[in-house]
Amino acid sequence: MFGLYRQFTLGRYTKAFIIKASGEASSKNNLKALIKEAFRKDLIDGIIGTSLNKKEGFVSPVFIKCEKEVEKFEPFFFIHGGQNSLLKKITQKYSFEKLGVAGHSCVLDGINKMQYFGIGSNFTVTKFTLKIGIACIGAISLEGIKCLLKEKKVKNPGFNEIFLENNKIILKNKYEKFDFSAKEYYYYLNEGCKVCMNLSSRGSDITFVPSLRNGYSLVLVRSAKALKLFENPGFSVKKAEKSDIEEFESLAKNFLKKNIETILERAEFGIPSNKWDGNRFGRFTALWNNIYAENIEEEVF
Amino acid sequence: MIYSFDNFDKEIKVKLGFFHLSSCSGCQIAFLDMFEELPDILDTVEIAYSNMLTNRKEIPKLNVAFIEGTFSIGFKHHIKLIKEIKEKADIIVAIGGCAAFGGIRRLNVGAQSPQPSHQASIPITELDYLKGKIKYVIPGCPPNPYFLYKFLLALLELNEEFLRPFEHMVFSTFASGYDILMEVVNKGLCTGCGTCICACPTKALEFSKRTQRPTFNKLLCVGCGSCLAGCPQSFKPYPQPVYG
Repeated sequence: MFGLYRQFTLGRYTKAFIIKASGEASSKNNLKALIKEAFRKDLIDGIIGTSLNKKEGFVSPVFIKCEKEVEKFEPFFFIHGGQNSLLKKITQKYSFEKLGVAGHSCVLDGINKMQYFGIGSNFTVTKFTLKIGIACIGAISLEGIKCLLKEKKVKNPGFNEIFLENNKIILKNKYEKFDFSAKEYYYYLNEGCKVCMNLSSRGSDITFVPSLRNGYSLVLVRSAKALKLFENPGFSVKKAEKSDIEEFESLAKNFLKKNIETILERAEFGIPSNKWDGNRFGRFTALWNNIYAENIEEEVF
Repeated sequence: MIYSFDNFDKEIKVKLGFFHLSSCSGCQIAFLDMFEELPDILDTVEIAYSNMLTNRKEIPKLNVAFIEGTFSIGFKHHIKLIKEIKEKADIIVAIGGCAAFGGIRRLNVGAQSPQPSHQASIPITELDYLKGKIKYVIPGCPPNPYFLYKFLLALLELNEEFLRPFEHMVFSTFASGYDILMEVVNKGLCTGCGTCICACPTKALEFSKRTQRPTFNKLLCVGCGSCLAGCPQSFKPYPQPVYG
């Protein structure tokens, strides 16, 4: 099924690009370039994201109000930092009309759910204009990251960047790069992320894959609005090659297989999995065994 | 669930009634807050009874009765009202944390001003007398006006997918921030997105930067059920066995 359906791992997208920001080649700079472009093209007038606070050593949610503030933004992937908790403060303090969000699939799920049901503040329902999904192989806690580094016998485990490269998870500090296999990383993964089926942030306008290949990061465009970001952009952009997409796809498949095992294990013990009930298990099994099913996303997700 | 409204008038308008039991009236005000969208709905619905919006003394036949607030045991006015609603309404919707799960009235010990005649209060979902009549529960303190608008639209269009989670909540008798801890954090489903904190009207939930999980202050919780309803790890799109 994985082999047959890219929809299952990556979701539907209209175009795929690889992008590279000027300056130091890093996936966080590539994301920052994308956000700056959104500000420049007036697609957003503010954006929420998760930033690494180097002094405190915490990942915390941030609200970026203009293009200048993007410079200070230190996106840190695979830790959520509770960025949706900011929404209420934003509502009370500021008045914005076009809010963007850069977050992983569950952050977007939270927003999409609020928009669908109307739970939470009206602001969250009506003001979001651009959703930049970040492809996520699963979130990890800060303690988890420290333990991962300890396993590599790093004495002073400082870090400022995390990204994907050559099917490995890379943690980087000022001086060194540490790579971890999917198996090593999966051990410390959030339990909630071990039942996730949406690694590619489907409910978004654009999915940014925090990968790095010759300085380029993969981007999957899902909506016409997001396509505007690639019209004469301020960063280097190329059409994604098959191999670029397949690199992330194979890593996502690897994690999805593990996640399916976890879901089945939880089902065996009678522990609920998020968004999965008997009805959904039934549909999933039926689709799993049906190679002719045409629209998996609508049926299962 | 599929049901039919029996008593349409000639214009085929759905008749709505709003009833106030023991509560602050915030839910009814939230309904009035959807001022921009309200005229659209008024083409298809008629507000047939409301202690705030109509002058009617008698309750007419209704298709949907929205009840806010808790039922005060032994309080004659509430007993009469509940009996009349059961007789005259096709379906009942418990609106807001008080009617649905007890809400802040769970903290009430009774016999206090301004209503010393209210000795003990329970949510209407705990009344066996209304079992089968209450079809949906709307969480929130108060529910978001946009949410009420979408709920009304779903009710008119019989959008089962939208309504299903709220149908399941009828069977819950308690809600609080502990739901987030028990049903999401304890069961290993929390990813630390912070949506519950945004949904909480009283800041009873805060985000711990160290653990990347919500922390719960029970002293501030009013038991409205918004946190679990908002959590992306609970129902979506199918209902989950969440409330106790």
